[in-house]
Order: sequence, then structure tokens, then C-alpha cells
Amino acid sequence: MWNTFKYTLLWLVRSPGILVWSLLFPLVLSTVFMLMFGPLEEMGQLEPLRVAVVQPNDTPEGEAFESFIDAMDEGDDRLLDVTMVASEDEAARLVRDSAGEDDGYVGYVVLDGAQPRVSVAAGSSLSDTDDLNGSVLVLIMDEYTSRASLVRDLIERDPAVLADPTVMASLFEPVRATVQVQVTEGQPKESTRFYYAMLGMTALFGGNAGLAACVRLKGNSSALGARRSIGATSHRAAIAATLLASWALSFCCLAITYAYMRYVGGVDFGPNDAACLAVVAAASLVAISLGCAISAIPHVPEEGKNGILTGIVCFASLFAGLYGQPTMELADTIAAAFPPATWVNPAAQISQAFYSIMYYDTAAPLLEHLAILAAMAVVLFLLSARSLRRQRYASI
Amino acid sequence: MQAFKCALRVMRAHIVFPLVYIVGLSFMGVFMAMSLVAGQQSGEFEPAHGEFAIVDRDDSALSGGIADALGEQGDAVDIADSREAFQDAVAKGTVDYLLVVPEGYGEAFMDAVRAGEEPPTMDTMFSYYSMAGAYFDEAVSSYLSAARSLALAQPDAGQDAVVAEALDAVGHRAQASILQTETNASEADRFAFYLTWSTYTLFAGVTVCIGVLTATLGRTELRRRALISPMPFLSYNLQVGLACLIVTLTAWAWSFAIGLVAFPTAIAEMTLPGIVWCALSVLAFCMIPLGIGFLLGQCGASIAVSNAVGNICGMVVSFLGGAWVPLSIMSPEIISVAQCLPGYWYNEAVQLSVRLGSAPSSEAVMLIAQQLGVLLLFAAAIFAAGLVVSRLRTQTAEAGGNAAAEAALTV
Amino acid sequence: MDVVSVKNLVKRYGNTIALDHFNMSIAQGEVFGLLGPNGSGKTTAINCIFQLLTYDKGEIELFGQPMSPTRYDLKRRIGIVPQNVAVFEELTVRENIDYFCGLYIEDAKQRRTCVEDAIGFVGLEDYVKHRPRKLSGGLLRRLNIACGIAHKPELAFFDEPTVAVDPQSRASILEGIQRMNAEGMTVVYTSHYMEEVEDICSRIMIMDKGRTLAIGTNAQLKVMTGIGERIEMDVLSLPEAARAKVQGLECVQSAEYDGRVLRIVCSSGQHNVADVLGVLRTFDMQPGRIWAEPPTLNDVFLEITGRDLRD
Repeated sequence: MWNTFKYTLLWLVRSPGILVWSLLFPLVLSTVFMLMFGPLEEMGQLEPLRVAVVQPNDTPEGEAFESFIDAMDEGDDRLLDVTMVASEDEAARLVRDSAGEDDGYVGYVVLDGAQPRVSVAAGSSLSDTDDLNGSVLVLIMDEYTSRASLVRDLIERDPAVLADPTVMASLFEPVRATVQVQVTEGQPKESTRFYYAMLGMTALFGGNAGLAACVRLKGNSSALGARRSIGATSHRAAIAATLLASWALSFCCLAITYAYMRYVGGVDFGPNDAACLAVVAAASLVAISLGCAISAIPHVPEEGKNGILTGIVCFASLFAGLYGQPTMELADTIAAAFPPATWVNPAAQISQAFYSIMYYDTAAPLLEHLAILAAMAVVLFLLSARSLRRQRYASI
Repeated sequence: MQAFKCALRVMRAHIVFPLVYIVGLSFMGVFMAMSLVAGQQSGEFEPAHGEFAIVDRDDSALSGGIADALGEQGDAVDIADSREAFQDAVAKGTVDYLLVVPEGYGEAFMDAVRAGEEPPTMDTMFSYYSMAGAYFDEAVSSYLSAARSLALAQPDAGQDAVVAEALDAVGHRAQASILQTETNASEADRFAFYLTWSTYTLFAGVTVCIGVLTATLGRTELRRRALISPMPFLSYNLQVGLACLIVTLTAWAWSFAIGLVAFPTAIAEMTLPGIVWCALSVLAFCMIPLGIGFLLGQCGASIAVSNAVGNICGMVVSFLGGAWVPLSIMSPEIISVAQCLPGYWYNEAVQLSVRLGSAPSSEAVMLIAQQLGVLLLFAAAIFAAGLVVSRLRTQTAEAGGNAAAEAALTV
Repeated sequence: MDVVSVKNLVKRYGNTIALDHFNMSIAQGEVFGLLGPNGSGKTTAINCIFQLLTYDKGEIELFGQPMSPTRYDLKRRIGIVPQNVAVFEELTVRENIDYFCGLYIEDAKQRRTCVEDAIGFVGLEDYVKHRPRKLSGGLLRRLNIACGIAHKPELAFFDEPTVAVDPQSRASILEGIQRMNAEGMTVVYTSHYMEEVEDICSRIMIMDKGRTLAIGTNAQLKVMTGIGERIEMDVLSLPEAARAKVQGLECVQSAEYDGRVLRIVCSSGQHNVADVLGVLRTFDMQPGRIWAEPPTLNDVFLEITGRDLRD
């Protein structure tokens, strides 16, 4: 058994095809991810919104509005990047001309009497960041509007009230009464989701090792398999050792990827290394069992089985949200509408297991994902059991 | 045409690769493009809508007013008052924003404000889309600010009265409408996204299929047998090349046709020159994986290696072509890296093509042609590398057909 | 006691009968030659004996005990050198031998000596660190053999071990098999090279279409088929009447003359050359040179299995 384990591991490690999938692929992909997301995260979250504002007239309302706008355009954490223009036409032209550019104007604002009126540039791409930027601009103007109405109401009731400096000051000093706390173990960035989904995908690609190992184990799928199955080692022991070796390889490769992402790439995986390695172990197990199950498909050559594995992995990763924002939302929608869809998706389970380490301070959610992964592995092994356990064939 | 036919038969025997990579992945692309939601295009502006949860331990007028103040921005979701429930809600993204109002907050707020002190704080939690959380937070701040001003202005007013007026004040909203621009997002963008995502489909698919062909036909013995036959060397290579081209063209036609069928509204919006230039862009892009497949074949790569290389390079190229995350939000360094890869130029060409007018100016066409020129240069460089490798390979021991020539000589 | 005993083995592939009530028994210490045209069922029979294939009917006993897929104790005593080279491309020569030997011998120390012996036996000392792809055809075949016999089995099956091997390697392989046989190993040997089988096999079975056609020692088979020697004589201008007379001899199966050489195929007999010479003398002919070759196994094989081309 040790002999089979040792040599199975040895030949797997020396097979370029296996190592490319199990190690090179995750390292390349995570490097690309890190290169792309790294600078993005350093840039910070909120860029000030570019807005054109039509110069208000010299009425008291106009002056109040202008000082409000100036306040918004001040300081390091300013919300707006304002360009003052003389007329609404000019503002509209400015917005239109910049539409579609990376840092185009979100819209323009013009003061109609005492009421600001916002024109938000129509979405120029299929992404909801346009809407969100527009919403923030509108929200800021809503705030001005409601404050203006508040002031009007106060003056109506008692014109002297504005003489009170505390009341006056309160109008221009927003209440900051909320403190953002972390209820979860870690606060994941949006890129975290990519990393986790990617780990899910690369883990499953490790199934190639299980696939190759099983193909070379079966008497009817290769001359080598035939020779091995007539050896005097117990067949059960050979199966166990082969699966163990391919699992060990897959686990090591994935653990290296994990360490690389965590310690070189600085990806946040939460506080618990051991828990993460448990997920890595479970993920490798599912991957191997998947490869094993695919190896049991009859009448398909080995390369074809590789192709099938690729197809399954890509599809599973799609629903784990790997391929960008739209698929993440799609995955969320499907998960919410039909939860079983994620129970059968190993890539989703793997990425959610990493999530649960990050988010929960109790082990229950993690254990739940690990249990689902283990159950998947069992089911997949059972699917392949008949074909694996077989020692005699009608034809070879 | 023996070699040509044989090559196509080889492809048929490995039908699972085109099925998975070209058919399967192109459907995935359609699926993803269909799930894209465009920003608002006209009429009144509807602010973004999200989900929030208020865990109200206070149950005062002030705390009750928060939910009303946020009602305009989103939908309230009930969350149980426990740490696990909070974690669950934030982790699963059930809510974008979660606010916990501590017991006695209403009273404490009024007292602090009237005593001229800073109001007490409340805990909030944001989910992973932190922009949406900040948005709700701003609305809460707006509501509390109004309440503070009102409480100061009317030192004798009760909490209920202050809350009612504060809600009235935050109920006043700015007028907001949509300004239409020439670059409005359109259905054509959906088609463009599909084409951008196709870089993965086509790169992986064509590389793998060509890799299968060259790996099978390039097996030393088979190749030698073909080369010593009376069929001219050039003819044999041309036939195999033709088969590779046919496979590539099939992949191109399939993936483009699926796009045409899946996005009829987009096609209706586009002009004929636009569609033609899109098709040409895809075709020019296809030449690159064709070259990679050829190069892999010359390197003697096995099917497994072609499979892996096609997939990995396909992902990198599509990723850095902006198929997963828009390049516009990437740093300049990444964009300059992206420019070294074909996905970027292809993407530029597609973006320009979908917006092409019905009678495009020669400048507009030239611009697209330039991008395609870059793609073809990429392809040419890869082919050249393939030829060099092929030349080098004929000089190695392995090319002699007897892998052991070297070993045998040392006996 | 028979080392291998196969009784009434029937194996069908769909409608094709691969083994048709096939019987075989091999005694201890034999080098048993299993001959048959391509597709005659040799490899199928071996795979059935190893329980790699299911079969429809029949009994298989090894060392007097019924064989089954889980009789690891029996499997431990047998070795196989399969027809196709089956080794790990990714492992070196030594690692491959060690791996396959390890399927039989768990004790690492004991195995080490076995592996070294096997390497020495097939003469691969200089290549222990090579990967199979670096080996020439002959070396690869030798590796294939080493992997099959490193555990020193009591019974070994060699399924065409010398295909595509140069004469030097072949000689060394055959010599090795004989040496192992001398040390007590029972050998089952299949090959299409008749002279090899003739050289090393103590008993030969010729099978076709899943059935035994003939069995016996080399000499017994020749007697059984009644084939005698081939005679060639240089004779100048032999009259047709003389040729017909030779043809008419009881011991002559065929006599052909091409104007220079008279070629005669005889049945088995004691005085064939003398009889032919007697006829020629009556025509006053004196052959220049005379060659007489004893019958070969090849002749026997063709006689038994027929000369038609096989599929």
C-alpha cells in the first residue's frame, strides 16, 4: 500500500499535465488576480464624483446653495469634484461630451428657485456603478433639499430661531452618529469573492490528478492498469493508496496556492489557518472524487474525460461567481431562488466554506459546508465505486 | 485531400473538446451577457434600491423613524437580534446595511443634543457591497441631522413631534431626471460583452482543438509516414493547415452566430458595417489561438498540455481583456500590461465596431482596422515562433523517430 | 501436480467465441510454448487465467487451487510480462521495477535485492535512472520483463516478450528465461517466432479459434503432422519423367523443378534422401549438391493452422 502510494505520488508529481493543472494553473491565475486587484484596493473605495454645477445667482438661496456645494468639494475626503459652469446648456454639453469616458461626469445640478434639480447622465455601460454614482449625487442633493425645507419651516414658525448659533451650526454639521463595526471575523473586500471562487475552481481542476490516477488503476482502461490489477496487492489497498496519493498531491498544490495567496498576495482569509487548511483538504477530496467519478464514464478516452472535467468545472465556477460581477449577481439570484443549486455545486461550496471562516465566529456554518463537501465526495466516490472495485472485465 | 479528411476525422473523434469549449462556453457567455443589467436610460431617475435592516432595541419614536427615513432608499428586512443572525445577514448579503439601535437611544439622543453634546453612537454593519452601505448610512445621517436641528430649535417639543417634522423634512427630495447622451448603454453593449467574453471561449476552444489536431497528426511516426509518402510535403502541410483553419472558422462562425441569434435586439440596433466589423474582429482574434495551437503542436505538446495551456492563457487573455472585470476600474499599470495581450486590442475593436454608423467614415474604419492589424501581428508573431520551433525540432534526436537514438549511441 | 490447470474454459465476446472449451495443463518446471495465429485466443486465455477477464464457463486452477480475483496468495507466486510494454512513463527504470516488485513483495529490504537482481538479469545497470521514453525498443522490452519477474515468481507468463527486439537482445532474453527455468521457474511462453519456441520450450501447444489443435514436444508435433525433411538438389536438365517419378514416390509430398534445382517436400520417413537418389540414378542423373533440412516448427505450425491469411 505504501509502495503504491509512494509511486503514484511520484509519477503524478512528474507528469507535466497534472502539475500544470494542480499547481501552475492556480499560481498563474492567482497572480493575475493579485496584479489586477492589488492596486485597485490601494486606490481606496470612493473617488469623488465629477459633477457640473450651474453657477447659481446672487439670491440668498443661491448663495446658500453655492456654499453647500463648496463644502462638498472641500477636503481630502470630498464627495464631489465640482466644475462650475455658466449655463445649463453648457453643463449638459460637458456631461454629454464626457459620457462613456472612464471618469466622465456623473451629471449636472442646477438650482431651480430654491430647489436643486439633478440630471444624471444615462448609464453608458452595462454595469450598475453608473446608477450607484447617480444615486449618491441625488442623495446629496436630497440632503440639501430637505435641509432647505427644514430651514424654511423653522423660519416660518419662528424667524428668530436661526439667530441661535447652536441651531445654525447644527444645520451645517451633519450628525455622525453611526460607527461601522465588524460583526464578522473579517471584512471581505469585493475582490475576496473572486479569490475564493478561484480557489474553488482551481481545487476542482485538481480533479485531473484523480482522473489520471484512476485511469491508470483500472484494468480495462490502460495496459498499465491491466498489469497492475493482476499484481498481488489487494485491490482495495491499491484503490485506497491511489486515491490517497492523488488527494495528497492535490492537497499540497492547493495548500501552496493558499499560502501564496495569503502570504505573498496578502489576500485576507480570516484568522484561522487551520480551518482554511481543512477547507483545502475537503476541497481536494471533492476534486479527487469528481475526477474519479468522471473516470468511470465508459467509452470516452482519457483526453475526452479531461474535457468533460473542464466543462463541469467551468460551469460550476460560473455559479460560484468566478467570472465577474454579473455572474456573481446571477449566482446570488439563483442561490436565493433555489438554494439546492448551491448544495450540489462544489465550487460554490468551497468558496462559501472560505467565506464562513471569514465571516462567522462560530464553527457551525463552516462545519456545514465541510459536511456538504464530504457528502459530495462520498456520493461521487459511490458513483465510481462500481467501476473502481471491478477487477474482472468482459473485455479489455 | 486525404490528409485534410483525416484531420477532420481526428477532430470528430475528439468531439468532446469542441463540445465543451466552443459550444458549452459560448452558451455560458450568452447566459452571462443576458444577466447584465443596464443603468437607467431615460425618464425620472430612480435611486439605487437596496435592502437594509434596523435592529431596534429602543422602540422609541426616533428609532422608529429611521426605518421610515430609509424606506425611500430600500426595503426593510427583518433580522433577529443575535450576533449569528447579523453575521449571517452580512455574510450572505441579505442586507446591504444593518443598523443596531441601542436601548434608550431616542431619549439619550434628545438629551445629548439639547445639552449641546455629541449624540450617542449606533453600530452599523455593511455587507460586501460597501457602496450601498455607505449610501444608507448617509440617509441615516441626514435624518438624524434634521432631528437634531429640530430638537434644538424647539427645546420643549417632544420626541414624537421632532420625529414627525424630521421625516417631513427628509421627505423633501431633489428633482432628478436622466440626461440622455450619445453613448447611452444599449442592447448592443450586451452583444459587445458577449463578444468580449468570447475571448475565453475562442482562445481556450481553438487552442485546444488545434492542439488536439497537431498532437495527433504530429506524432513522430505518423508524420514521418506522411512525409515519405508521394504526397508533396507542401501539400500535406497545407491540407493539415486547411483543416486547422476549418476548425477555427467553425469555432468563429458558431460563436458569432450564437451571438447573433441570442441578442436579436442588439443586432437590430446595430448597423450592417458594425456587424461585419464585429465579425472581422472575432475572426482576427481567432487567428491567435490558431497560432498558439500550431506552436504547441510544434513543441510536441500532448493533448493534456494543450488543454491546460489553452485554458490558462484563455483565462488570462480574457481577464486582461476586461471580460471579467471592466478594465476601466483597473490601475494604469495593469492596463499597460493588458496592452501587451491581444484581448485588449480585440476589445477596443469590438467597442468601436458595435457603435459604427451605417455609413462609417474612413477614419472610423481605419481605427478598427488598426486594432485588427495589431491582432494579426500577434498571430503572425506566434506563427513565426511556431515555424522556428518546427525548424529546431527537425534537428533533434526525437525527430528521427527513434527516441532512443541518443541512448542507443551511448551503449 | 499441475501448476496451471484450465478445464473447459469458454469465453465469448458477444457472438464471437474466443475460447471454446479450452483445456490446458502445465506441469512444474516446464517451459510451455503457447502458439497460435493472431486472434487465436492466447492472450485471452492468459487474461482469464489472471482473472482479468470474466469467462462464461470453465475452471482455472493454479498450483492446485481455484483461482479468483482476490487470491492474492496465488497471484504472489505468478508473474507476467505483458505483450504491450506497460510501465510508468514518469518513473525511472529502477522505480518502475521497484513499483511492480512492490505489488508482490512488501518488505523493502527484501525487495531491494530482488530489484537489483532483476536489473542485473536484464542488463539494465547503465540505465537505472533513465525514464522509459529514453530507452530503445530492446531496452524497453527488457524493462518490461524485469518488471514482471523481479519478484522471482514460481510461474511466469511471457506474452510475446521479444517482439521488435534485435537478435542480441533476443538471445539474452531467451537465455535469461532458460536460466530462470533452470532455477525452478515454470514458464508459459507465447511467441510468433517459431525458432525461439523450438529452442526453449519443452512442450508446445498450438491453438486456434479458441481451441487446442495440437500439443506435445517439438518432436512429437513433427511426427504428429507427418512432415519430413525438405530436400533440394542441383540437377542439370532433369527430364519431366524423372520429376514425375520422384513425385510418385510414397515419401514425397511435392517435387518441383525450375531447370536447375529440384525441390522436394517429404513426409516423415527413414530413407527419404536415398529413395530420391535411387530414382535419379535410374535416369542416370547425378545431383551436384544436395541439401536436406529437417522439418521446422514453422512447417508444423503452418500445416496445423493452415496457410490462409488471418484477419
